[in-house]
Amino acid sequence: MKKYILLIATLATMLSINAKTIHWITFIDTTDPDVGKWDVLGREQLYNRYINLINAALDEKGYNHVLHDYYGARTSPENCKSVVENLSTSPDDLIMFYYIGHGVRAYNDATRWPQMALAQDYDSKLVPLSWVHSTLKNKPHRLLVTIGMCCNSEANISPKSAPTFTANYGNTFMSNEASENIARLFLGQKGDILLSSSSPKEPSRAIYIDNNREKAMDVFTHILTEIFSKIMDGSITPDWDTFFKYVGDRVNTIVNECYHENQIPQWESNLGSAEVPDNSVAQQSSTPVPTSEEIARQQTSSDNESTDERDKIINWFNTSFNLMLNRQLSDEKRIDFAEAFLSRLPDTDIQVRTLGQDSEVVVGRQSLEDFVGRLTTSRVLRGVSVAKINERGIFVREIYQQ
Amino acid sequence: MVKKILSLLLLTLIWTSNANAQEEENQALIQRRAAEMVSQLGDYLNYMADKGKSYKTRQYYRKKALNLFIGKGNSYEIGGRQFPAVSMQTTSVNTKAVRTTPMSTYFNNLINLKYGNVSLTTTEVGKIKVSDLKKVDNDTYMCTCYIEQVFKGYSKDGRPIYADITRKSVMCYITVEQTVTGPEYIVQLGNITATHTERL
Amino acid sequence: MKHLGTTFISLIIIGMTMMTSCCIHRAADTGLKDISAQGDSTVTEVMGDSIFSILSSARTTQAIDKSISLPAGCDSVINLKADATNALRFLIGSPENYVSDNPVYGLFNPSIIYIFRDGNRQISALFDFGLKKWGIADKSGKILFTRDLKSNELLRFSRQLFPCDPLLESIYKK
Repeated sequence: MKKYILLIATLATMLSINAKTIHWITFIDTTDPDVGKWDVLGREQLYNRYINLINAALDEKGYNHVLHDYYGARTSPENCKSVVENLSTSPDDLIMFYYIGHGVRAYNDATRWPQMALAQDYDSKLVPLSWVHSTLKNKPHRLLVTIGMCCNSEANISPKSAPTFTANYGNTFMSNEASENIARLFLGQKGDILLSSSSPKEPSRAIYIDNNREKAMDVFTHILTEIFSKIMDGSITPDWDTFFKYVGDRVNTIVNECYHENQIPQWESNLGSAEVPDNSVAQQSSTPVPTSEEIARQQTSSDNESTDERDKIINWFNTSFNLMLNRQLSDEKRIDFAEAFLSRLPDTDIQVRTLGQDSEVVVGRQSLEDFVGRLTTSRVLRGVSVAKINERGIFVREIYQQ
Repeated sequence: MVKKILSLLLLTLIWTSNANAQEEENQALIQRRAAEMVSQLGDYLNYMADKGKSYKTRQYYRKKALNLFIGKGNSYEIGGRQFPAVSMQTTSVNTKAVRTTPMSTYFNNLINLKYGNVSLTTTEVGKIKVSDLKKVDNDTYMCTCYIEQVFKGYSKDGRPIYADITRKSVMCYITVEQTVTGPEYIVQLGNITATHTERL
Repeated sequence: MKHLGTTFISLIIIGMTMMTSCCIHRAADTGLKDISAQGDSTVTEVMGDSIFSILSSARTTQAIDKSISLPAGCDSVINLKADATNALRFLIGSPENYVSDNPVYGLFNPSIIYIFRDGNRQISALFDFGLKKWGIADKSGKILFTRDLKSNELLRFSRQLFPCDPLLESIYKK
């Protein structure tokens, strides 16, 4: 045991001194009676087709990733205010904020940005998107991208520059080229960018996906992930203004065709060019380690519930799994790390189920021990992300080298 | 009355096509998974053959590679019938003979090849062709992945001695398990047969 | 036989069209019948007879502007005369306003409310012109249904009643 503790401590120290992190803050209203069920799909697509791929690519550039994944009952103005105000960052960090849910604007708002409802409808608790952006902008960062997917139509509400309440607390195949293009987009520019999915006085809308009447989600996120795949394959230049221009044009075209209305995403960018760093290994020690009790508790809780504990456990598994995949470590070090990781867990027979791309269908199952063994010896797996943990085990998605 | 019958027919058509769409989607997911696992195997083979890697680590990779296979390299059962451990067929342009070796033994042989160094590469995952699924038993399906393997053997001083390209078929077994949340498909690799070899 | 064949093919085509469109048009439950005829039939089918009877026989109508931006000194409650009530009834009864309730990512937050009273009975017509949606609520305030507003007629009507409402003016300027 002592040998393993020493090994983990040594590994943590020998890795790069300055932790670099991409912070994801996502608030997705999956409980709304009207659009909630579509936002469930929106969240999955956002994570599977955007966030997980970016994390896998930036892992090679030495970036840890930390998720603040708020959905279900945890989507609230209080949690938004709290996580935004309390986020702790370093100068090389990337900060990504993404909201899917209802929004409105006051007709006499000085800015052109909407206010987010965050699963409630009191005027006094609406959170201005511009406030989120300006608060995060004051924190050290290399790049900040704030995206609000919500309506921007005028309503009977008051303009705000900041939340006016006090928080009550008592929460698929990627190639090297794709990875490099992601790195160019996220690390090739510094500064900040703020976007809302519709212009002032416009609502934001939803569509069926792939003509399947069982699947619907918001147009903006769907198009964002679609255009993102073109960034990855190099058909579109990986810079933010170009990216958003393509997204905006396409969103408006679709909404025009379907609803004979406009939905024109708007954004403001303050970006300068930056040098993409060379590949390096992410420091792991900054990720809080959950206790065995916390892990056991998560296994018996509902996997639909978004909690701080869930975030902590998932972040730890994600970081550990992706460290095992990291080819900047020697093969022997990866194996040693995997053995140390397994020794921390009371039960290595936990089943790990692999989900299909964009699907909840299970296409693989093995014990955690065998899964870790596969990760540690793989040179074709680019990234793994934990989708959920419940009494049936750990559900993951895998991204393969193309 | 007639309009009601026609409406019912239309609804049945819509419902059936939805159910078929779901089946097709599941098959596509399974085929993709099979290709991923074969690509994983290809990488393991490449590693085991690489004399530049430590012997101990290559043996570790050998054990992990066996986990990809049905029975994990031991005999296995499908529908109450016993089958021997999965095997690998190998060929050579020199002998024309086709050898069938239990997978665990094949891996050991690969690790212990007498060449100075070996390079063994396989079709990349995006280009692996996968057949449709066929039912072989109540809860078991099968599909085949088609790959090409390039084998290159070098002497100790780096001189190329032998090179060939072999077309292989990798059988994949898919076990369907019904759970409370729906069916789960467990994809595992099976026997690998060599269909054609030519010198490079 | 030929008629059956034509009907069958028409149903197939309609079905295939429905299946291939990605646009979410949430059609009203019963509002698709007789939409070409502007009249009572569409309204009654959607509202139900009891609600419709209050709308059509209400003796008094009250217009309320709930906008928080209404300047001091401007009327926020107006009792409508008979001709204004009739015009309002006509506009509310336009079949185009019952066709769809397409989902949007905005909150339904009506700023203009028209209350129809018939003795003890009462319904309210609620309008969120920014979101282009309207709805009907019962006496307790419970929203019975919402629909999309297809034209600016009711916005124009409301602006005439509340000319100093800056929110209505801003929306109209769009």
